[in-house]
Amino acid sequence: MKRNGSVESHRLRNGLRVLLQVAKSAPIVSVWCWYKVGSSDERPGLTGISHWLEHMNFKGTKRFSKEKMKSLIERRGGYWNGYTWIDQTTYFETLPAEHLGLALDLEAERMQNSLIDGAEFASERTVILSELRGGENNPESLLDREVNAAVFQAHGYRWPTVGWEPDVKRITREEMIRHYRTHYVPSNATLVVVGDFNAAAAMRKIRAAFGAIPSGEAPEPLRTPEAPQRGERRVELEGGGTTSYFHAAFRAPSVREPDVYPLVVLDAVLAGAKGISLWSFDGETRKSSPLYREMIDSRVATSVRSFYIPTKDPFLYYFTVTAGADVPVEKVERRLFRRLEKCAAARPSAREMRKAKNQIRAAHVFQSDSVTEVAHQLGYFETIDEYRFFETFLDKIEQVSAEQVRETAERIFRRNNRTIGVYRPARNGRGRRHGAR
Amino acid sequence: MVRGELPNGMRVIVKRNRLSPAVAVRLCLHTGSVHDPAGREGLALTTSALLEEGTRKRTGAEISEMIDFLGAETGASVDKHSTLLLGSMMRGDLDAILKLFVEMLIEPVFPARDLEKVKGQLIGDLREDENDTRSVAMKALQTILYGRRHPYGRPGGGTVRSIRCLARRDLVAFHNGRYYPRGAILVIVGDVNEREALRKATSVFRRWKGDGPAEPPDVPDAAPMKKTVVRVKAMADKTQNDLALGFVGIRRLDPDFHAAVVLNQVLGAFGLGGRLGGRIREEEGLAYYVYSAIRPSVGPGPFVIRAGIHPDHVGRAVRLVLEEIDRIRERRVSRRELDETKRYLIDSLPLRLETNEGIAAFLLNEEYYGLGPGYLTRYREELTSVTAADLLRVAGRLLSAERFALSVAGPPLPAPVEESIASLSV
Repeated sequence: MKRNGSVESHRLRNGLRVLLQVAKSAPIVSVWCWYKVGSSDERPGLTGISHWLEHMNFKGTKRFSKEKMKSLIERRGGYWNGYTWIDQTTYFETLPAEHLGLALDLEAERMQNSLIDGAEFASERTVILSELRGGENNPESLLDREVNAAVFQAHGYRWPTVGWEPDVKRITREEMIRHYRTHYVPSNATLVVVGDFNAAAAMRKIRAAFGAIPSGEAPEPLRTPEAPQRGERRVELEGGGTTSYFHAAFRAPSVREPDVYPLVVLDAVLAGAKGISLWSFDGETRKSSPLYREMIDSRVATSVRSFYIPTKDPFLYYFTVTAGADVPVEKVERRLFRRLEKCAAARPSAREMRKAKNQIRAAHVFQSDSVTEVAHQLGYFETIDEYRFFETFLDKIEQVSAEQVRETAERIFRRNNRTIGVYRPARNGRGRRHGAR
Repeated sequence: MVRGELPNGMRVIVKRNRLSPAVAVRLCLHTGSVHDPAGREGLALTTSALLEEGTRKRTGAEISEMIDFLGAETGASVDKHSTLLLGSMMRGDLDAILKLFVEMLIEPVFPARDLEKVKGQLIGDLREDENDTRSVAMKALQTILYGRRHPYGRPGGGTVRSIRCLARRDLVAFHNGRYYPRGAILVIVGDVNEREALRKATSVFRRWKGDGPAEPPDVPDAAPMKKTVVRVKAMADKTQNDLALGFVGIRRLDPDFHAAVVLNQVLGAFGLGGRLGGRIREEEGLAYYVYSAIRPSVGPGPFVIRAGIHPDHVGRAVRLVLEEIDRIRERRVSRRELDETKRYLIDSLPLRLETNEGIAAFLLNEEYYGLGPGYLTRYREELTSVTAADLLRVAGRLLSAERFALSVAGPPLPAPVEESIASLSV
């Protein structure tokens, strides 16, 4: 995507942050509205409420009834969606540029006039239970969930974004309305527009749509910092199938810590760069990488992946391994940790550093090729920190030294900083018995 | 855009798109899993997966080191009819990647050790699929619809047994017979000088020799379902069922293609899953995902409806799907529904054609099916001319609430649900 000029940042009187980036590469725009509320801003009893609320915001507002909202964007040739994760809730529309005003009106409505209709609320509960159970069908997402809950004892990163099932079954409409009123206020939101538009005209439209929304007060973040981990933790699961999985989670720096950049380079050296987009974090491990050689070329594993993305509070540097047939999980564990310890023992070579930085740069270019991606990245980082993180990212990466990479590996790959998850097929090969029939 | 044809029969298309300093490449061969010999299912896939593991000039380690040092992203994929090499790279690296591709195509060495590694990975994937409700439901549906004799009924990814059987000589023979330049299509999109890129591609690929059919392989017709067939697979340790209900669909070049695209949108794709989404997700809250999809291809790919449903509600969900099938077969869609769907398909084209990858995929498709350079305009016209009567006719042709294939995988169903499902096939 060809970006014209730099990002413009504005703040409306009511506190709404607005980021604009003109890119006249195609006659389209992408509009994103972000809220600084994710599952970790919830509390036990209300887990999953942010995600459920996001669903409700597709089911009608005062001005856009459910009927009207249905295919509102598609019939103008656009697509739209939303997601909720640990630090954020967001909605977007990417559509032909002439419909920018519609997308703005829709997001302004969502900010203040969501209906959260009682009948719709009830029918969405079972949709979410279905989403939750669909995830439970997958052994690796089950294991993920267990590992997360073992790493975080106090912080809200502990529970899944979709929520705990008993909470999803219990949450009331009144609680959701309260949650909505608390968090959906202009001073807790960021609006991002990227694409083919005139910035001054867009600002006029944005003021018209959002300017009159009362500012409200951004809620105080309700998060318990996680105390340092004192020892290795381990979770073991048994279940269906014939495949074993090994997960290792290391507590990792937040977006605001200087370690972020060396860690991104460390991951690129070790496994290959995936960029810093939530949408492409699970790229394949590169074949020339030490991690691939150690785990796949040796045939200890059939798949190995690593995952790090900056978050608001310290989250995870996460590894997943699918064990090869008949390979004991203990062997997977030994191999993986042996390889990680090497990163802590020796600096990457100059060539490894250059290669890692080349990959990060290329991934950044490939991932910035659409208005939707760029708008997402600006909003993602503004919500957890500030959008300049994205703008200055490559320069900061360029400055990382080999010694910083080694030090970061040493700090992160400590035994006391890791939580292990193991999934083994149940011994009878059929998983635990399920019900009476 | 420029287009050229090499003396060896390979076609090259280059389109300049200066939105970022990157280039996307797609190279398509008319070699796919339909060419797998019986008992060697998965051979086309395995062959393609080994291309990067070494050539006569470079070892696999040297190849991956080169790609990774550039930060390029490459890969190979195989479907029923074609093998696709894909690459994304910075603009200065196009030459190096094209040279690598031609080496991989002409002189791969298929090292025995790497073959064993790849086989281990493919078998691992198959074992994981066996524990995946969606995959189990879909594979069973495909078998019901096409049977074991039709190429669409055979597993392109192979089976544990067929992958185990593969030997290096199988790959060598497959490569000798099935990798040739005639009819192959190379598409390059990105920050390039079109003429120069065409020249470069021509000089790099001219040494590729060999002959074979210049067109995609023939795929026989498949008979529509003559009765309803139901398969239920109970799986340990699962919390929700995945269901797949389907029909034999149409070919890409079928005159009803554009009507089928609109029909699918109305039934189960437009917005949050079309009418099916409206009914099963929005009104009844039975599913997080429910949708329909078509796969018109060289042969008659399937028309499928898929959903994830709690075991107690599987019977109800299937009934609702069948009701919607009846409704779309019997009653004309409203003007509004038709117009909105067509508008979406037409007006969303700029979004699909925003990125290098999107443009490359479109151009390859156009060339692959011989749709002609004016296809973008014709596509709009064809969609515009689809009528409610067309949808009725095509729904009558493709869908039926009396004769279909249904496959369900997941936790055991409660007895009354299982009985109600089983009774459909009587």
